[in-house]
Amino acid sequence: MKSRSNLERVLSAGHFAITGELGPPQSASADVIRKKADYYKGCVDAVNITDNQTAIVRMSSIASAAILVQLGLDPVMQMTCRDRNRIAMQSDILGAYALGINNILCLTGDHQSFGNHPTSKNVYDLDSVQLIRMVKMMRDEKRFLSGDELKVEPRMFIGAAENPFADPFEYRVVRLAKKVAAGVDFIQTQAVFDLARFSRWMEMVRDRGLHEKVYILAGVIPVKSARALEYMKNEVPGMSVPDELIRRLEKAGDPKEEGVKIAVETIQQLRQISGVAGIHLMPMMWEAIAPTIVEMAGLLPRPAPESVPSSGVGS
Amino acid sequence: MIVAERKGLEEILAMLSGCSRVLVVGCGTCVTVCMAGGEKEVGVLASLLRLATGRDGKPLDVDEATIERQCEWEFVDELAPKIGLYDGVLSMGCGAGVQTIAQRFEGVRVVPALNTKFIGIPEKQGMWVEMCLGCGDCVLDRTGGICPIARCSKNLLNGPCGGSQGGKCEVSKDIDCAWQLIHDRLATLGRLDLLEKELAPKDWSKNRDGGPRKVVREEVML
Amino acid sequence: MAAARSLVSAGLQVALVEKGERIGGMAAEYACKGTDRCNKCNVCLAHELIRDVKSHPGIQVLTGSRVEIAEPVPGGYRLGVGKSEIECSAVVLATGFEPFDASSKPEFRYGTSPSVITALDLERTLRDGSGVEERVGKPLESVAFIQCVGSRNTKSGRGYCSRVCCMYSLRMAKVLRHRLPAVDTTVFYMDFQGGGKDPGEFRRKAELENSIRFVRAMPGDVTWAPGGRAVVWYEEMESGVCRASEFDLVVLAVGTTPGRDTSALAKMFGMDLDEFGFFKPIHSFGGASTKVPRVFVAGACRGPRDIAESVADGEQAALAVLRVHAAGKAREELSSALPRGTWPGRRVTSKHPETVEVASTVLVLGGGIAGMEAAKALRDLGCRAVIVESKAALGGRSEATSLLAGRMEEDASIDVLTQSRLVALDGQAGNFAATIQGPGALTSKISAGAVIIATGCRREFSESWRRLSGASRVVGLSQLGKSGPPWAGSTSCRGGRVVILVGVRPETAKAVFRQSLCAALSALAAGWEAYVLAPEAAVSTPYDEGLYLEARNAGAVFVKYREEPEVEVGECATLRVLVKDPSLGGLSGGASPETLAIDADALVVAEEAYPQEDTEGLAKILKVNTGPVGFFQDDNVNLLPVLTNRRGVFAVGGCRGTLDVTEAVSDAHIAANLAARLVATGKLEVDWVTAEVDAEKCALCLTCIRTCPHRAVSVDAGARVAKVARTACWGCGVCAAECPGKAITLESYSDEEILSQVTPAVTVFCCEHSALVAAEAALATHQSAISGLNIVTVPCSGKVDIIHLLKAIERGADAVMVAGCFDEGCHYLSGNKRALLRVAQVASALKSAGLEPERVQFYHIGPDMSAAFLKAAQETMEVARELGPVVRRRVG
Repeated sequence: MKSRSNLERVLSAGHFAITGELGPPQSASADVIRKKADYYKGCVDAVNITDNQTAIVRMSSIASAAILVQLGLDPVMQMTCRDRNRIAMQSDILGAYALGINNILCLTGDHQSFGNHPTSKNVYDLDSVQLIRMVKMMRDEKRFLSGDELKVEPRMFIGAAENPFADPFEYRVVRLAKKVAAGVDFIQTQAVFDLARFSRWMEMVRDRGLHEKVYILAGVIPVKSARALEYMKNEVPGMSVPDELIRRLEKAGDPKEEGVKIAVETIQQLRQISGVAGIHLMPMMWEAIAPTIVEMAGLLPRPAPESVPSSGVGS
Repeated sequence: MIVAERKGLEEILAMLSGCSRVLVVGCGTCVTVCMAGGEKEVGVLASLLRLATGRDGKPLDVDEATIERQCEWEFVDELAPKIGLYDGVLSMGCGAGVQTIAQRFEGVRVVPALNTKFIGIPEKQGMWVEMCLGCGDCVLDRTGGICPIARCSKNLLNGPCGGSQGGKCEVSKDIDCAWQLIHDRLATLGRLDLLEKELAPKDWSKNRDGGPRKVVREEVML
Repeated sequence: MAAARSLVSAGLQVALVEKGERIGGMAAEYACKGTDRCNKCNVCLAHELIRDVKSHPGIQVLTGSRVEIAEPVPGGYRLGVGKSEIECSAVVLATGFEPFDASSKPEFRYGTSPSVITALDLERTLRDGSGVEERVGKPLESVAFIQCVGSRNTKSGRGYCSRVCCMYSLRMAKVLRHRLPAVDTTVFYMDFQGGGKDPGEFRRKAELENSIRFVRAMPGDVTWAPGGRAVVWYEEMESGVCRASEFDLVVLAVGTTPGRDTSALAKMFGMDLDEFGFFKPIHSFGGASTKVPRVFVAGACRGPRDIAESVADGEQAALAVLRVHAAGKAREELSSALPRGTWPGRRVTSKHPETVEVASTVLVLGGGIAGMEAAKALRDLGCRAVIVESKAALGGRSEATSLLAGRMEEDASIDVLTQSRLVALDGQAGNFAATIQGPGALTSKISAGAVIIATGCRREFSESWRRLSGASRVVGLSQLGKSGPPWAGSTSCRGGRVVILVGVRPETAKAVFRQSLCAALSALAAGWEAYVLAPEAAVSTPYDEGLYLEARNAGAVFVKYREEPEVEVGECATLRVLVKDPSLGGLSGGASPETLAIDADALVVAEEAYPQEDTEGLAKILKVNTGPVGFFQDDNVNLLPVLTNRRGVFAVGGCRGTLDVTEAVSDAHIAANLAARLVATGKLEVDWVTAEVDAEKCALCLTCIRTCPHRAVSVDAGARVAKVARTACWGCGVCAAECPGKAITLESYSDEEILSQVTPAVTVFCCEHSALVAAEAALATHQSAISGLNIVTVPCSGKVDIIHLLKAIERGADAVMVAGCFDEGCHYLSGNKRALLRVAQVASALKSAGLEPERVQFYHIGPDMSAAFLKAAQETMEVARELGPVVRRRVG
C-alpha cells in the first residue's frame, strides 16, 4: 500500500468504489461540514473536499478535510494550482498529511474570473501534471521538488481529474497518459451524462492499457430539474449533456425523483463499462440524496474501514 | 510590438490636477503603430484636455510633441529645451517611455496617458491580441509555435484543462483555447508525439519573478 | 453627356446640342431616392455628368439648339444648328424619351385632382423637398402606385414594358415610407421587372421592412369617394375578384415613349425606327451602330433605359466613334488623358503632372464572349490583349462563339493562353506584374497596364431543383442548344408536353425569360404543348414583350407562381410538376390557390447564375471587392458599369452579376475603352490629386495599406515606408485621416489647410460630391436661413479627421456636422463609413470631456437634396443654440 487511505484499500481489494463530494461553507462554520459529512457516513469510501471551487472563497480544503478525519471519514483533499505556488503547495501537503489526510486530488482549478474575486492574481506556478509528479516525488523519492531531502514523507494516495467531455477529444486520453506517467493513482472524471462519448473515451483508455495502471472513478451528478441540466449544458465549460435527457426531465411528473432515477441508471450503466473502478458522486449542495442513490444503485453496504487513520491529531 | 491603450479622460485629468501647463508627448514607434500614442492621438488628447478643462473659461495650457522613441535617451533629449516650461508631462508612450522621460528629467512630473497592455500583434485592423509574455524562457519549439504561457489563461504546459470546449477557453468564448490551437497545429505538422512529452515545471526565475531583469552584452558595450 | 465626356477625354472635340435650356435631360429632374442608404436610383450620376460636361473646355455645349439640317460630307457630317454650322466626324443621337402623357388615359382622372399625380410629378415634389403632403394638400394615410400606365398595352401601340417603372416606383415608395413612416403603401403591378444588383433582395426588404404591399392587378378606373379620396378599382389578377380601395394619393407610373423629335431626326439622317417609334440600331440588343455610317444611338431614344444603362450606352457609343477614328491612325495620337468617368471624383492637381511609363498590354481573364469582345476592342484601340482562359479552348458558355474564338487565335495583337490562370498580381494600375500558371504548372510573368475580369458565371440548377440535374428528360435551359431540345425530331403527331421552370430570383429571370420564351415557341412549333412556370413575366425590353405575346398567342400556358413548383419524378422517370396557380384559386372565390398537376414529357429548368467557384480567391489575388451574391464589384452606383475598387481592374459580363449577352458585350466594350484610355499610349500623365506619404513620419503601421478602399498603398520595400501609387490613388484622403502618425497629406486638404477654414461658427464638413452640391443649392435659395454657417469642403467625408472635428469645437464651433453620401453611395466606396465611425468616436470623446455628444452629427445627404441639407444644417445650428457655447463663462 502506498498510503493509509481507505479509498486505496477499497480499490486495491477490487471493490467497486464510491466517493462523494462535499463543498465547504462560505463561512467559518465547522458545523456545516459535520452536517454534510453525516450524509456520507457509511455510504461512501472517501469524501472529496473541494478547493475554493469555481474560485469562490470557502473554508480551506485542508481544514475541512481535517474535520472529516476527526469524524472518522476518509477525506480526499482537493488542491488546485490556481492559488498557490510550489512552496505553498508542498507546505500544505506536509501539513495535510500531518493532520491525517491520506488522499489528494491534483487539479488545475477553475479560472478566477468565474468566482467572487475576479480581479485577483492567479498563480499556476505548476500545472496539474507537474503537481502530481511533485507529490509522487515527495512520497516515493522523499525529496522536495527542489531535490532537497524530505525526512518524513507525506504518504498520499494521489488522484487527479480528467474530463472526457472537453476538447480536443483525441487529446484527452493523451493527457490522462501523461498524468499516469507522472504518478497518479486514481482518476475522478467530470460528470457523465453523455454515456456514448464516455464509452468512446474509455475505449481509448483501454487501448492504451491505462485502466490497468490507474483506478478510474466516473463522475455522476444527480440533478433536480431540467433547468439545472440545461444550465450545465450551456454555462458550465467542458460538459456534454444530451438533449433527450433534458426532455426526459421536462416531461417527468416529479423531476427530482426522475433525476435520482437517471443517476442510478447512469451508475448501473457505468458499472458495465470495463475499466471503470468506481463512481464519484457530486450532489452539488444536495448531499442529502447521496445515501438514497447509493442504496438504489445496490452499492450498500460499503466495505468497513479496517482502521481509523491514526496519524496526525486525534479527536 | 508593444500594444497599449489610452486611459480614460477622467483618470488622465485627475493625474494632471494642479497642473497649469502640460506637454503631451507621443512616441513614433509601437504606440503609433497600435494607434494609441502617435502624433494623431497626441492631437486628439490635447484637444480633449483643453475642451474638458475649458468649459469654465480657463483651459489647461496644452502643447504637443511627438518623438521618435520615448525609450531612448537620445530622442528623449530632444525634449530638453522646452521641458522646463511645463509643470506636467503626459507621456503617451508605453511604460518604458514614461519612465525614460521621468528618469531623464529629474524634478519633472511625468504621468502616463496609456495603459501598456502586452506584446502582441494586430489580428486585424482595430484588434490586437497578446502573443508573448516575455517570460525569458521560450518553449515555442515544443508547442508548435503557439505560446501556452501567453495564450493559455492558466499558462499550462502540459495540455488543456477541462474547460476547453469547441476550441474556446473557459474564461471567454472570445478567447481561443491555446492548447486546441497547439493540438491542431502539431497535427498539421505531424508532430502530435510532442504532446505526449511531459514538460517540467517552468523556471520562473527567468521571468520577472526573478526580480527586474537586465540583458547585458559586453561585446557590444562601449 | 456620357458619350461626350468619354469622347472629350479621348482627345476629341465635342459639340453637345440640346434643345432644352439646360443639359441633364429628364434625369436631372429626378429626385435622389436615398433614405438612410443609397437606393441605387443613379440620379447622382446625372449630376456628376452635368458638372463634368459643363467644366470641360473641350465640350461645346449648345443649349436651346436643334439640328435642323444634316448633310453627309466626306469623313462625316455637316450639321446646321440654328444659324451656325458644325462639321463633325460622327453623330451620336441621345435624344432621350418622352414620358407617357397620363391625361390620355382619362380613366385615371389625371389632372382633375391633386390626389392623382404621375411619378414624374412625385419626383419633382420629392426633389423640391416641399413635402408630398403639402403638394397634395392633405395628410397622407395611404398611397397607391399604379404600374404600367402607358406601357405593355398593345391597343395603344405601346406593347412594350418601360423597364424602369417597377424599380423607380419601389424606390419612391421607400422614400415616402421613410419620410412619412405611417403611410400605407400599395403597388399595383403586372410583373415585377427587377433592375440593379440584387432586385430580389431589394423588393423583399421593401415588402418586409418597409411594409410596401404588392398587388398583382391593372386598375381600370379611378373614381372619387365622398370626402375626396381616390377610389382605385381593380381586378386582382390572381383571384379575378374586382375590388375597390381608397387612397389619399394615387401615383401613376407613367412609361417611356419615343421622344417627339425622333421621327424627324430619323428622316433627316435616313435612319430606321422600330415599330414603336424608337431609333433602331443594327443589332436590336447591342452596339450603338445604326444602318447609317457614322451615326450612332445611345440611351432611351433607342428604347427604355434606366440611368445607368443610358450612361453605359453613352460610353459604348463613344467607343464606336473612337473605333471610326482609330481606324488608320497611329495609337500615339490617342490622348493619354484619362476620362473623368474612369473613376468618380477625380480632381486635377495644381502641381506639375508626372508622366508614368505604363505597359500597354491588357490582361483579359476569361475567354468567353465578354473577354473576346474586350480583346477585340482593345486591339482596335491600339492595345495588346492577353486572354487567360482556364479551359482548353476559348468560347465560354455562349453559343456561336467559335468563329470569334478562331479569330482570336489568328490575331497578332491578341495572345491567348489556354489552360492557364492568374496566380498572383503585383504592382498597380499601369504596371501590374501578373503571374500566370499555365499547363503543367509552368508559371510565366506578364507585365500589363490593366486587367479585365471576364470570368463569367456558373449556371446551375437552383437549390430547390438541384436534385433534378442530370435526371432523365430534364435539361437545363442553357443546354438546349448543345444537347438539342427534347422536341427536336419529335415525329408523333400529338407531340409531347414540356414544362419550363424559371426560378424566383428576378435578376436571373431578366436574363433567362427570353430564352424560356424562345424554347416555348420552338416546342410549340414542333407540335408540343408548352407550360412556362415563372414568378413573373420578365419582359423588360420591347423584344421580350413581343415574344411573350407571340408565345401566348401560340398557345403557351403561363403560370405565375408564388410558391416554388414541386417536381415529382415517378417510376420510369415520369415527371409530374405540381404548381399552385394563384389564378385558379379565385374561381371559387377561395383564398387558397388550386394545385395544378402537369404530367410532362420533358422538363426544362432555367439555371440560376452563381459566381464562379474561385471568385473569392481571384478577388483576393486582384485585391478587388465582391458585392451582392458574391459576384465581383461593390454595390455602388459610382462604379457602374465596369469599375472595381481598384484603378485599372475592370469587371465585365457575368462575373459581376446576372447579365445577358447584350449587357456583357456592352460591358466588354466599355472596359476596353477605359483600359485603352489608361494604357494605350504607353504613357500615363498623372495630372490628378493623390495622397503623399512623409517618409520621415511614416511608422509603417500599415493602417493606410489596410484602409485604402482602392488598394493603392503598398510598402516601399527599399525605403521601408508606405508608398502611394499615384496611378492607382483616387485622391479621397481616407488614408490621411486614418494615419496615426499624421504622415499622409492630400494636396489642398492638409490639416493646416482644412483647419485654416475652421472658424468659431457652426461648421459643416461637406463631401464635395454630395452634400456640397446640396449646400450650394440651399445657400442659393435660403441664404438667410443658414447664414453664419461655416462650410468646409472635403473630397470625401472620409477625409474628415477626428482632429478636425475636435479643433473646430475647440475654436468655438458650438456644433459640428459632417455631411456625406448615403451608405453604399460613397464615391470612394467606404469613406462615408469611416466618417460615420469617427463622428461616433468624437461624440463619445466629447462625452468623456464633459461635453454634449450631440455637438457632432453625421448626415447622409444626396447632391440634389438641398432641402435635406437645409434641414440638417438648421438642426445642427439649433443644437448649437440650445447647448450654448462650449466655454460657459470666460474668465478675465
